[in-house]
Amino acid sequence: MAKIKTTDVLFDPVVKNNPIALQVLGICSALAVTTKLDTTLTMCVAVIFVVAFSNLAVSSIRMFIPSSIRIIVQMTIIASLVIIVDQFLKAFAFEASKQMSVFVGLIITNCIVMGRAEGFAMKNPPFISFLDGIGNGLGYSFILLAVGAIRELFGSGKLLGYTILPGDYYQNNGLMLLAPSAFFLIGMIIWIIRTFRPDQIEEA
Amino acid sequence: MTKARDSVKNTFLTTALLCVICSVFVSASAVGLRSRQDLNKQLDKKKNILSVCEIDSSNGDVQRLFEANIEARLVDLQTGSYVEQTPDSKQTASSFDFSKLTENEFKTLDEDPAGLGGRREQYEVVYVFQKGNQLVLPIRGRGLWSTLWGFLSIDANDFTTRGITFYSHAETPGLGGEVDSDAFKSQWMEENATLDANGKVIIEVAKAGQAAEGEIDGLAGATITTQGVDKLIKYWLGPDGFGPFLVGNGSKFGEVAQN
Repeated sequence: MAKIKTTDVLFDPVVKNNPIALQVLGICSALAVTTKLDTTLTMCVAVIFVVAFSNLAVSSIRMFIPSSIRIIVQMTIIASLVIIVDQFLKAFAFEASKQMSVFVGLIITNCIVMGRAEGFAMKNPPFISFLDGIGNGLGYSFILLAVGAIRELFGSGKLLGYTILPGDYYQNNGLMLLAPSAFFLIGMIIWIIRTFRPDQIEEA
Repeated sequence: MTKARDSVKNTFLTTALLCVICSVFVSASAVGLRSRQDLNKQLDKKKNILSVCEIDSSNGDVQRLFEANIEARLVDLQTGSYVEQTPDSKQTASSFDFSKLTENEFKTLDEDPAGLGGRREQYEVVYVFQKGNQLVLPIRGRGLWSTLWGFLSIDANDFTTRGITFYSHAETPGLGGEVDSDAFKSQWMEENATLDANGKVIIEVAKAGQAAEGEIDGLAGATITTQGVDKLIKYWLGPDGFGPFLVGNGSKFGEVAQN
């Protein structure tokens, strides 16, 4: 197996091997929490934290995990991390946690977290797995922030709560605040990425 | 190595160890952050009380605004008069915590239209906003999936509605969840009459699109949540709720507020 370079692990998932755009994982939360940029930001931080530390934990004990129960072991670690994140959000970012409601808990079922634990952390040493977690978290965040920014800007004429497009001459596009718009946007982002990187196109 | 790893003994050992370690982390974070979370919940409640009084607290100074404008008073729902503290759990208006009420500070309900689980507390805190001549009543009741917790603000003299807010519920987003939307809440600012001259509850939350003059238009696609709001409003304003407090001793609220 070729030696894995740390920078590749960290930055490849952002564009080259993006978990949302290429692997089409974690779509559910990408639709739900992207109506406003500040909840999107909180979600991104939460997911980066969970992927990074679940990768670290799974990788550190990968030699001891019996293969028959490995998925359950990963789930337990991920679920514990998500509860901890949820508790911290309730204590330090109450407004954001109220708006995100169930979607914090749903990080447990975010396929990216599980996918990285099973696909990468089980086979690689802790430090590189930790970086891989951060990298994939960043890849997820990149798409989410792009979608969140576009939706908030065109849906309510604001960015992070500050008015950018005043209501006088800009009519808010209500569709942007509904879930389907995120589908269109993610579709377009995938299209753009694959136009510049034709190797990502799957055979029909 | 692999063989030992996949043995039954190791499987049980790993499971046990993992569960212990994870539960330590989870409980540590839950217990350690409890006090901060409770503080946030209280602040959120105060923010909601301020919002039904139409006091803007968006600059974040909730605590100061609350203390400057709102006075919390403890009410005995049975007699309708103010009391200093609850008899059994010794709680005052400022320290009142619903979950700390003792068993005999509850009254068993034969009829439970608002869905309170068959019993209702004997003491509740009301919030007086003197400057705005408003009175904020805590309300709650069953919706479709969850209990709705909120506040209703009414005019201190003629009991017309001045605002409503629900700070905790788990209704369907987009349907019943619209109870905390601005569109629904703004109807309650329109000074609809709640009680007639005899103290009878006359306010109605009608089926969506069928509200007559003076009624509240319900939520489209959320019949049960709408009915829940209707029932809980009628219950809390009625003789079993704040009725005695509002009109009980033949006195209008104008007098109640001052004593």
